[in-house]
Amino acid sequence: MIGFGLGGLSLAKNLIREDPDAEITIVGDERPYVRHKLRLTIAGRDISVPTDKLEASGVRIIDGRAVKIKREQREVVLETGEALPYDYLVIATGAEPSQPPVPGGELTMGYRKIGDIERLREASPSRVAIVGASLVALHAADTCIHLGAEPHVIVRSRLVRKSLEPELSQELEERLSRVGVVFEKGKVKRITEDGVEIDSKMVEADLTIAAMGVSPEVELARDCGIELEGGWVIKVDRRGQTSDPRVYAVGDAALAYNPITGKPEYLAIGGAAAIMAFNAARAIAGKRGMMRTPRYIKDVFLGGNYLVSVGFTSPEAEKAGFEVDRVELRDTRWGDRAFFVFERESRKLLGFSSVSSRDIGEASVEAMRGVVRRKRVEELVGEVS
Amino acid sequence: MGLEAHVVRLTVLDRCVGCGLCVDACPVYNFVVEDGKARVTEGAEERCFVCRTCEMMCPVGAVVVHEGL
Repeated sequence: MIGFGLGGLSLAKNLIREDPDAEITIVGDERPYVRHKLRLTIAGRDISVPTDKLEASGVRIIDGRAVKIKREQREVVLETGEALPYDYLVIATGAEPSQPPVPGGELTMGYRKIGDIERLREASPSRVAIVGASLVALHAADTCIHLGAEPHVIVRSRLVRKSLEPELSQELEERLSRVGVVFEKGKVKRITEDGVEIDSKMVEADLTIAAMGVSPEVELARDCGIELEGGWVIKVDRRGQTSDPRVYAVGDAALAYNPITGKPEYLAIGGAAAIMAFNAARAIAGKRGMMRTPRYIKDVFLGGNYLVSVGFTSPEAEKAGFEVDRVELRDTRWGDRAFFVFERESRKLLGFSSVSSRDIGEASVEAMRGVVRRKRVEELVGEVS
Repeated sequence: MGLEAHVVRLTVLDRCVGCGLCVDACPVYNFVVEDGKARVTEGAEERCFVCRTCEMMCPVGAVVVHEGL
């Protein structure tokens, strides 16, 4: 297995269970950590993940880098020159933050690794520009505030666009503005040492974080001729098998499948990586059955502002070809403000999103299950006028 | 509240049927099944990836991951 993030970790754990006789070797240049908890490292919290149980189960972990996959010989070559033979190979190489495609894009830093937080802390900035409207951008903004820096989040369209109804993007923006996040609207033109130029304005900053999404790490796969979708992400079937039946790919390097449309989509969500690993381990062990990968997100930000999202937003559902209707609920168990999105004729759920000042707990699980199982909207919220 | 106050809490509801899918799903060994029900293991909250795979894979919606900040 190449890569030791959540996907690699999950795959190893699942494969030990599915095939106790399998000899598992993991090659990775970093140990797994909880990316969701990155911001906690500034409060001195340890977010590394113990691997003692894997090692006690006989998994060999090599701290190093794979530099080549020789598919014909079924070998992975390490930077030390060592060649590791395989019966099955799993590529779990993850992704790296995408650089803004503008002049100066290379001046940005990512917000993805423990080292990024250390760099941010050492820089001790007073103002930070954050390019992007993603969840990562909001995590970075939280971190900046806790470090005493003023985050300026540069948003081209709206916050967390693929996960929230338009009204909820606005709601979240207003809530986070009240706790110190500054939102700047515009298209990024260029990035300099002094900040970010948007439209006709300069957003001054001591450093700039790129949080516009990620790019899958696919060089090893590309170099050995494994098929990529659109030239940028590893193409897999529903169980993670690549164009080579002996090679699987899971996590942020590979495509997932939308449980509603059945079509491939790029998710780059931790939970999806773990489910992809579950499916791939079963496939490698020759077992039947697979779990679906819902687009399910639940997060909390400064000021105790919660966000829950599953499935499609109404604009995304329309783009996917659905005739869409939706119902808005305020101050209910679904959150301070929540939307269910459903197919107009069948009334089957397509999505749910919510912004709230509390963890809606069990209700988020119920909404997620309702969307994945395509329940009728009335089954969850009663009669809709 | 600050990041120091961040907590994760895992709950298994009474409707758990003890199928063990959460045990399989969790990448960091946060669940065991005992006496026909899932139970959260010691130290689970610190280890938790907050990946919510347990919530997604539970067939009866009995696992809930709470996060507070």
